[in-house]
Amino acid sequence: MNSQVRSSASVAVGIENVEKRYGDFTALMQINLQINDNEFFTLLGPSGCGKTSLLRIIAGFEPTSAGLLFLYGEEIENLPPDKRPINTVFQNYALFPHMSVADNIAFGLKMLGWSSSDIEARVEQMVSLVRLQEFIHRRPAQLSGGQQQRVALARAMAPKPKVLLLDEPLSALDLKLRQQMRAELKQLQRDTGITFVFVTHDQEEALSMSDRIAVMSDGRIQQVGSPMQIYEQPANRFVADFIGDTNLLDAEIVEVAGGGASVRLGTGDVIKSDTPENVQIGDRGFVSLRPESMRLRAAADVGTDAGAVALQGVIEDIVYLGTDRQYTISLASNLRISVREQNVASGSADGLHIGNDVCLQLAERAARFLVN
Amino acid sequence: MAGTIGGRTVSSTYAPVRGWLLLPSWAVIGVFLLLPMLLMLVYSFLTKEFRGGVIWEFSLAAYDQFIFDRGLFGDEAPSIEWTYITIFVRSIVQALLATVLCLLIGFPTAYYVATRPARTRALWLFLITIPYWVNLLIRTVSMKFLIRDNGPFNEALLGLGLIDAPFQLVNTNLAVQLGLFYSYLPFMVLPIYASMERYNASLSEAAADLYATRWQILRRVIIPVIKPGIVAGCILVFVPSLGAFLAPDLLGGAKTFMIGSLIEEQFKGNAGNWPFGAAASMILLSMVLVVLMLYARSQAKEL
Ligand SMILES: Nc1ncnc2c1ncn2[C@@H]1O[C@H](COP(=O)(O)OP(=O)(O)OP(=O)(O)O)[C@@H](O)[C@H]1O
Ligand SMILES: [Mg+2]
Repeated sequence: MNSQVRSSASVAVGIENVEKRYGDFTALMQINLQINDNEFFTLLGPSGCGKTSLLRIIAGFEPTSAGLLFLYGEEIENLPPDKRPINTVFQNYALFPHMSVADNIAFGLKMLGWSSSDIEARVEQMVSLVRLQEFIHRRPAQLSGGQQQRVALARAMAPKPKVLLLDEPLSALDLKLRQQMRAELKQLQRDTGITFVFVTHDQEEALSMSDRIAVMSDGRIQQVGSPMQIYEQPANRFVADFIGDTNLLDAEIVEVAGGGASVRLGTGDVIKSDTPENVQIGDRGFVSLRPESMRLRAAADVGTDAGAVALQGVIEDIVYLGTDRQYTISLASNLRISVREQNVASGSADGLHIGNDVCLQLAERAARFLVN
Repeated sequence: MAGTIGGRTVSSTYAPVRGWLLLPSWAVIGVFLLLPMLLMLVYSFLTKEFRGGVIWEFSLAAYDQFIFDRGLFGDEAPSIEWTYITIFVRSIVQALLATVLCLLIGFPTAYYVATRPARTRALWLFLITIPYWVNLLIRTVSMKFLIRDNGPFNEALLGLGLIDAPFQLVNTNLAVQLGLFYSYLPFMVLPIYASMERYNASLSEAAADLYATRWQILRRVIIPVIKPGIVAGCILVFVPSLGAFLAPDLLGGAKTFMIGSLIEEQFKGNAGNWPFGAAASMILLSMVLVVLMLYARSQAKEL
């Protein structure tokens, strides 16, 4: 990376070759990220993959073991947390228990030396932004989890930070509130224009809120991209498996043409597939097939347009999921695959019963070949 | 009955401690605390018997004696008697000083111990409590040996040539202060440590994140959050210091007399004046109650 990229005003947080070791355990290795200004950026990964460690490094609570850290082009590695124009919403909120909601929100402003009239105005503004007007005199212990979460948010946003870090802020909330807060957070980010770095292990949360996502596992970044890229063009087996449901089938490339390729599955069938760049005939790997990217037809109905059929099998199991039905299909060579069909109208599942022969049609670009 | 946990009121239906479980405690408190105190209250309003004891005849003489000087035979015009007031004021000043000193030394100690890793913490606590396995009397006497004119402390200073004549500590207010401070220091350290240990370190991180310097974190977050422990420590040091008699008896002299010694003297041997001792106890008790009430008031205001 050259220094022009580092100092570019559009890169809010620049992370170059950052490593973090605790004793002889390496929690983060070779982290390279550029988080853009005004971006809703999400760090997504399973528990223990190093998300909090990375966030704490950005906030300044932990020193890096190696690498460089930039904020709008300036090196900040040696800046203590209280000198970084970055605020954090903590996973456990960390609200000051001895202060009212208003005093919690005003804390950062007082530390920055704002005048009391400015503080008052800003607190009022924040309180109405997160709709806590009735609660400003309460202590945190007298608030519900969702209300506490909003106080934490208001407290962190009050000093107008350049970057806001959020460590799984929604994980303590129930499903309904979580869904509501997702929309609110996204809206807040759009309205304020603050760069959000959001940590979660919930892929649905990540997909629905983010401009871009970095998928992490075992202290490494596996892929960075828009929610659509991450979902539709996973870079490797881990990403494909972690984001959404997928079928992973052994595959070998038998033909490379243009942007795509043909791959042979373990069933002997050859299907068209997307591939990463630079694959060659003979490469072995996996094909990821999303359950919703396939259409299921009763074998008896297919008849003439048999050309679009990719795979054939027998329905082994059906699970009713409300909006969808999930079918487990057994293919040749003892392979299984799961397919999701929307319950469009009554009768859409005609002829699809356990034990029936079925054909699978693949949507365009449904299959994605992965090397590892 | 309703209690509060973490600032929330909880209903008593499932509270594990039912009223009758407290009966034994109430019995002990009644017999060994309330009853003797009531007795003292009554005694303070009786007439003194000359070889100790009381005559069952109502009298305000004990309280009168505390405040007024009416001459040797009690027939002169009353003037204010400063002896006992001085002793009380000295006691309050000594107890306050001991509290401040214990806080100044105890707070950093507790802070240090509470921020060690769990295993070292236990070791530190053990080390802090070790001296208190020895009886307070023995410890106070050995302190006297240590600081007396020809004791090791003065010998060392003389030997080093830092002083020409022994530095007189025994029989001074300073010696009594040292004794009080030393006796009650752990009562300051332990409650502060206990609340510090429960302190959630991410609050400090949150404060730093919100631009607070180390000093501001200490003053605006750590100290307010662990305040209950600090207040408990201060009360636990102040109250017994106020009524202490071992340290003033053993390390002090006539000029360093404190309330505790004054009361002790009234009940010791045959020379005492029981109603006067009882009255002094009652005055001491009311001062302690005032302190506790002020504390309770400040707590109530905060909620
Ligand atoms: N202070 C520490 N000392 C030693 N190891 C640590 C420390 N903090 C974190 N780790 C280790 O580093 C790894 C990453 O931890 P981290 O807290 O960043 O994970 P995470 O992705 O935030 O997980 P979660 O989703 O569970 O919060 C874990 O294996 C953890 O055990
Ligand atoms: Mg974490």
